[in-house]
Amino acid sequence: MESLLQKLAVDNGLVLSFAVVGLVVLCSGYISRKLTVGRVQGSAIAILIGLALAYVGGRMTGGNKGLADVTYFGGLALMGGNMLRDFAIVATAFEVQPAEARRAGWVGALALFIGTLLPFVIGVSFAYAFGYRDAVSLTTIGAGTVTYIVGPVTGSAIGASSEVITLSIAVGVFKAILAMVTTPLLAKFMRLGTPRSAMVFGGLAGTVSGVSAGLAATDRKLVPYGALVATFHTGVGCLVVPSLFFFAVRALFPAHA
Amino acid sequence: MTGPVIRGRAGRAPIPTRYLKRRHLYGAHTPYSILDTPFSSVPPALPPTNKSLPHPHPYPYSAMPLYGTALLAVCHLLGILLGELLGRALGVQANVGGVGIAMLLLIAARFYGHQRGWLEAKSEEGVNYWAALYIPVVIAMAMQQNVLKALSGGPMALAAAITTVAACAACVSFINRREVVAPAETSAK
Repeated sequence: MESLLQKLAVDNGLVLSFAVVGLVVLCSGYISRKLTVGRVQGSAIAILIGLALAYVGGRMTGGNKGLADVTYFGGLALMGGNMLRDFAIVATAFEVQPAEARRAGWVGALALFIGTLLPFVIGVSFAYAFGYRDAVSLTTIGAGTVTYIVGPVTGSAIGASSEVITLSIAVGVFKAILAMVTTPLLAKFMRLGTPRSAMVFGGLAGTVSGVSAGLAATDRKLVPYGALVATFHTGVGCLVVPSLFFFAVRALFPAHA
Repeated sequence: MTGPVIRGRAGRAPIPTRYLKRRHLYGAHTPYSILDTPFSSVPPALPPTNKSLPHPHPYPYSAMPLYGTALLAVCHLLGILLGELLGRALGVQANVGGVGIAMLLLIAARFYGHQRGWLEAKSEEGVNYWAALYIPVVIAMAMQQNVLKALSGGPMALAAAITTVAACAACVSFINRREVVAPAETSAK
């Protein structure tokens, strides 16, 4: 019986994950309506439940893919993986009003620039405060603060130790999770409501996963605008951090470079 | 291309002749309002085989949504490819805005599809379904985040991440407070 269920779950991984996510959405909708009287969006609660389940899954298996490492829920890796996520993000572009996007274009680019520089500076200063002095480690941790993909890409490009690279991934993942959780709470403060404001947010908050989940939990209509800018974030980070920013850090901390 | 002026349609766009020519297909009783709807929602010009069918289309199922999904897939792949090539050209080990380029391609395809008339409402369903799946996919993504690793990063990871998110939120707030003034002025006019 056990093996039969396991075979069913493994062979139909993607289908099972549709059912699991549907169940989570159903529960979170109920919680949203009954416990918070509709004050907290259902999708925000669903993302929180998802993160809690990811913690449980990580605890159970010790793997690095959350609940998707549990044999029964392997299909989640496909459903929530990069391929389907990007496919769904591209599909939301159908709702974009080209005029709105064009009008906010330069603000989005400006936000993208600040959104790369600001996290990097903060990451470098925290690394400095916690005792890192060599330019390579400082740059790698700063890169991880930009996004958790820029961290390891930069680290391996400039030859950082694996311990520092792991730390930079941890910072980036934590930032993404924090953006998912806090965006709906801070939406009023950040004046998120227009396509333009979503594009500014997409540029500054970085990480496609943080932006897409944060905006999904705030207002579904804003998702395509934020994602349009945020998808350039990792690329821009990988472009300027190992080159321009690394040279700047090495010029500032020359003794150990 | 434009058809005759019809009484009671003052100030509205003239009906394209091709719809008036097809009018026999929908029956003479068909109100002009159907012909007046955007071309994307006009039913396909196939003669109904059975007049009692509620739908003017002879087949209950169509391949149209597939075209939409295929269009989406082509835009997705082209965008990722261009992003990958852009990354190579810049000497970066990453995809530079591949998904963003794919989104721009899809926006352009929709614009020209509407203008030239080859994009039908049924085809759009094939894209809209995937756009609707967006939130479930994001929830599945949340379920496989490496939460354990994020928590194991220790106080430095925690402090750096919290400060970054706070600083970025303050920055977003600052820019948006300045931005919102302009659209409010234009909408008041």
